[in-house]
Amino acid sequence: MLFLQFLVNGLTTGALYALMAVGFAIIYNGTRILHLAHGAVFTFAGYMMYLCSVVLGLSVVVAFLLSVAATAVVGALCEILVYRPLRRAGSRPTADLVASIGLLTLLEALFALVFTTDTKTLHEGSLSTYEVGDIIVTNLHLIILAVAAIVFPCLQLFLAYSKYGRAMRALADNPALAGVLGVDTRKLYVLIFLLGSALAAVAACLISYDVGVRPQMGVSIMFIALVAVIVGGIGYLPGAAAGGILLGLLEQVGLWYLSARWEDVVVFVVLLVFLILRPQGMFGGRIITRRA
Amino acid sequence: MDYALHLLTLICIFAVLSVSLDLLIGHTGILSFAHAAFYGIGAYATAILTVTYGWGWLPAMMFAFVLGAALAIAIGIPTLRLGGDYFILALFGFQSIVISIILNWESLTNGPFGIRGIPRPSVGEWSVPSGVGILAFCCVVALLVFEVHRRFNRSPMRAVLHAIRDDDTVAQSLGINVVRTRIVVFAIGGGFAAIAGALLAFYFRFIDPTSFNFNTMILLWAMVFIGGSQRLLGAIVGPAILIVFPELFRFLGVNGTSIAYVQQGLYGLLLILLMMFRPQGLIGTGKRSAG
Repeated sequence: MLFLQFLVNGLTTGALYALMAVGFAIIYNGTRILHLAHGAVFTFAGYMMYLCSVVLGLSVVVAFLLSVAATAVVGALCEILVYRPLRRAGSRPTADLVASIGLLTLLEALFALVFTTDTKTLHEGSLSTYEVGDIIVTNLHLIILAVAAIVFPCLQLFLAYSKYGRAMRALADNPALAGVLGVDTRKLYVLIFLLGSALAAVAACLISYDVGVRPQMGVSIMFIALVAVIVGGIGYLPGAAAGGILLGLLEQVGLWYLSARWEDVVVFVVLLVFLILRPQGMFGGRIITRRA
Repeated sequence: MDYALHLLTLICIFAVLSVSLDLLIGHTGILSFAHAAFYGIGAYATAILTVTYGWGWLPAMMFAFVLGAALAIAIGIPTLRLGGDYFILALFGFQSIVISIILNWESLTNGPFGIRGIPRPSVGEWSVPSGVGILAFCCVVALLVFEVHRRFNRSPMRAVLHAIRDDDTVAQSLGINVVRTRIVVFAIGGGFAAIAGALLAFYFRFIDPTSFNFNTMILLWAMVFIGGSQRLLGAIVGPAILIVFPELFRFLGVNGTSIAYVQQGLYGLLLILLMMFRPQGLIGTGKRSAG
């Protein structure tokens, strides 16, 4: 029943990657900003979780909600304080990429200065486990799967039926046309950043509860999320989620044959294979070349 | 005095990196997030060949150049074809796996402990002495790289690259092989970065993975964007400012462990502010058009 154990572990890791990947993809599709600072926004959520639950001693659920809310605001501030002024100045698309990498660096340095580079753990002792047949499941596994099972359908409903969700999809399809049809793009950009960052925060809180928080954690997981977006096909949100789950499963298989140190390399090989053989992603879709 | 020589040597090495990165970013619009990785590849190739395999300094350095260029081609072919954000992501990944390989392939690279005892360049019995000697050596190599850059800047090739950077569709319609030209330029950039790595190895005679990580990459980007593009002077001023400026902290007596993070944060802030207020760089001329 080793296979089932792999499946459970892979699905939970994959669900977290999927949350991160979908958050990134929402921002990328809607605004065409390669928001690399998303990685730092993710880390911020982890530290908020640490602050609320360990330093302030709030209950885990309250800490989780506070952290998601605060992180969404930080994500929106990236848009309001950095990307919007750049857009208003009419800068080239490169400028927001450079500013984004600057923002990532700045935030990471701040985390290291405030919280030091030591890993902060969020709970003591080990997680409680259940044995179902031969498989071992932790309570965190169950929580992650439950959260994913709630978040993804809600997100799908929001994007498909709500006024703002539809506006977001319109913006992703054709920004100029959306503007003409009366979509308030300025407000919508902020909303997109709120939503994308909140999704990253959900993933961050769950991951930090498991492995703790350190300043650089966001960058490596963001890379995995970016690969997931490409694997699933840029511009197609369910694809990003599927890509995240695929990478989660692959990682478990990889761990069986190789040590965890080679994880980045495995992900990179997956990226290269897709770029060479199927750059449009698993489900088809188009190749987006915004920048030359 | 020794201290001034040390700073000058560092500026020299970083000027090579900055010139080569500017060739990619400023002239051709190739936004390489992996320049620090090529720098590391050059340094490690030189160190491993001279220390472990006993090669001479010149063949080792030449091999470093070829390896840097070859890897750039290998990574460029699948990704530069797609262009845009795919390339940026792929290089972002390449940067992190190069560091990961250096850290984990311990039998070859000695992992986090680095490689020591790298010999100085020598001719017969005479080897380049510390201080002025090694500075002069680095200067000569840097001048060679600058000369290539200068010649290139006066050649018709410059216009070709600028056309590719500004509008690759137009460039293509004019009969320019956009993808092939990008790959060639990327290979030259990778090779030059590897040469800078070799210089670093010869200078410190010791290398470890921390010199080539993500923070170094940010530092290089900050240097290029401070200097602004197009002019060689910019490629020297950027490194000069960013190498001398942090040394001031030393005199202010900022706590040693946090100094690195203060620096890193300032570089990040600097990149954001430059994009907002002076995208053409501090001394760049006219409208800078990166990418």
